[in-house]
Amino acid sequence: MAFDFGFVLSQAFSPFNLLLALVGVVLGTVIGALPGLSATMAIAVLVPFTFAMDPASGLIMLGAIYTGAIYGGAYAAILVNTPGTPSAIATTFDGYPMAKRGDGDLAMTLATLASVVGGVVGAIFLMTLSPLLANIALAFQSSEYFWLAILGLTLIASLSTGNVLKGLIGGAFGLVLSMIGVAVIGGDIRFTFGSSALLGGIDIVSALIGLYCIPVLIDLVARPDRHLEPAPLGRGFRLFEALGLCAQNAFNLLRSSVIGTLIGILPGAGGSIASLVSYSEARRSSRHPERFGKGEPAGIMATESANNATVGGGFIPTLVLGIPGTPPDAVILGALLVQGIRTGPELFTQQSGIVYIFMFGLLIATVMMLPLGLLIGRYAYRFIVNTPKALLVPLIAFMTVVGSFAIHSNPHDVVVMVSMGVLGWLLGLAGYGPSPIVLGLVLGQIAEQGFMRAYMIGGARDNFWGQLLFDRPISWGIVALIVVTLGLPLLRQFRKSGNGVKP
Amino acid sequence: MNGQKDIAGAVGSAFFAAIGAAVFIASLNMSPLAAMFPRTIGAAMAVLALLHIVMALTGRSGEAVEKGSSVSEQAEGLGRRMTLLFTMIAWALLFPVIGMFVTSLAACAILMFTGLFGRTSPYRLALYLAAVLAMVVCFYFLMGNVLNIPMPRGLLF
Repeated sequence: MAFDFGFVLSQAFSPFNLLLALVGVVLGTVIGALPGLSATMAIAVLVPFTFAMDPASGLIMLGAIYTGAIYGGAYAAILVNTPGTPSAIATTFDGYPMAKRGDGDLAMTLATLASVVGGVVGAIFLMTLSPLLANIALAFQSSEYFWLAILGLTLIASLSTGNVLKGLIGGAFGLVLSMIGVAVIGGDIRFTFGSSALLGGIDIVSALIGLYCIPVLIDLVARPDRHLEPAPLGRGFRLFEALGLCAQNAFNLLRSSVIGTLIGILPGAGGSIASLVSYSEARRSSRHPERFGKGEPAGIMATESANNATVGGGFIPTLVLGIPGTPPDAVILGALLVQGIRTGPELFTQQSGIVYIFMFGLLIATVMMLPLGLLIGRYAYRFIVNTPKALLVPLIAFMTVVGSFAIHSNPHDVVVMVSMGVLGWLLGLAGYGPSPIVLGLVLGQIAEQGFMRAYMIGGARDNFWGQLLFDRPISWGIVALIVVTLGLPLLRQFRKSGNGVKP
Repeated sequence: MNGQKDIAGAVGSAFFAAIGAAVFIASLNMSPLAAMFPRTIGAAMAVLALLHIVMALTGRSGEAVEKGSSVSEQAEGLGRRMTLLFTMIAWALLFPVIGMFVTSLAACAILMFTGLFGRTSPYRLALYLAAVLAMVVCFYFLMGNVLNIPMPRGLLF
């Protein structure tokens, strides 16, 4: 590394930059915790302020907001069963059941610890192996992105124990929803029913808020019992208990962080798939897979470490190749360009000082999440537990409406949010969960682009299946994973049926 | 597999089978590039849904990790559930016309009463209403003035 290490450290640890990291983490966490207010929005709103700062300070603050916002998504996932971002979908599986039974404080502490571990691992990979890992992103072509999207859908379908079909159908429905509007390839207007409001398609965050939040609200008003069980007094942060669980799950944390970093490198697909792969892997390797989905701490640790590791992972193609993996990466890339920093391989040789100050800043912000997250998490949990339903219901409802409106300042997004909520509630009655639908919607465009490019390239070569599957070794690997993912639950089901055991 | 027929699941699958078939048919009128993906996914969804209907009606449908409340559970507090649902729908449709602040205040007040259980003293009720007003004012200010999101003012504001 051709840079002055002492200078980088002195800059990254300067009181002003530490203060910016602190403010960034707090702002990011609070904004990320509010459904509808995303990391992208937080960064986009604050980017102009950073133009007046020196490049390193501005970037440290943006990185801190980003990492804080990804972590903040866990709050809504655990306390209200609403993932702030698609990458927090799997956090709802065990986080909300833990909070419901009165272990919300432990869930929040675990999410904080796991997020810090994941963030640190991602940042270390970013600092040490960026150019090398960026090649992985380049190795993925259109057909691999298609299979990756299908892997994400099969993973979430396989989590529907004994009912993979419902998961797959839900995922396919999500893919159908993603087709609404102008076709990504071909340009036809599809499934808009003549409505100009649907030309832009269904917004993912609006759909996500509606599908998760409205059914929760509907259940919330129906019964007089508390939304979450209160934790007994005097338990504090339950930090030592959480640390003990982390020590028992050290390998799970590390594996999920590495998975998060590696999948986070892939533009577009990273966050949501990374947390699902980690969750699925944690469940597969657990001695008690039956506890997953019912409030298993290892599930929260897997998803939260993975989704925070994607922050560091996502910056790898952004900084090395100039390809932003996620919308927040794109905004930060824009801020880099305004500051006169040109991304690309030469960034690490010609402007290595600034880029390493930024990376250290990200690391510092991640570590700061520990005390700040524990404090904010504790009060957020207490607030949700102690707020009477008469106030909690309008508060959550108001956040869903203004949150979905705030995405594009478009009233149509609110109508989409409520419609998806009603649909999600009705489908819930039939036993269809929201996660496969949301994931299908998130991955729809990636899947269609990959599929259609393979179709066009394969068509030109008169070898569609070769292009989609047979000529691409990475595709083989992903397809093999899909087969295993779908095959294992079915095999388990057959074995249990053979033994006369009811699954 | 729990050996019981999953009637609600079968109804849901029938809905998805119909959607899949509709997507497949609609794709026949699209350009080849725009049609390929919907046709594939529509067909796959319809086939999977039909397969699930068979499994659900023969008692081979399993349980999902995440699922909504069952139909029987939903019977509890149905009036409150419907009030919330219709309030949210009316709120979403009316706020661009009437204005975000007024509709939000009205909707939050209705939802506050929907979330009240048992007898509530007038003092507590006044406290709740004040809290709802403060919440709406704070969020409106945060969105409109801090985050610079243009809130619809409509006929009122």
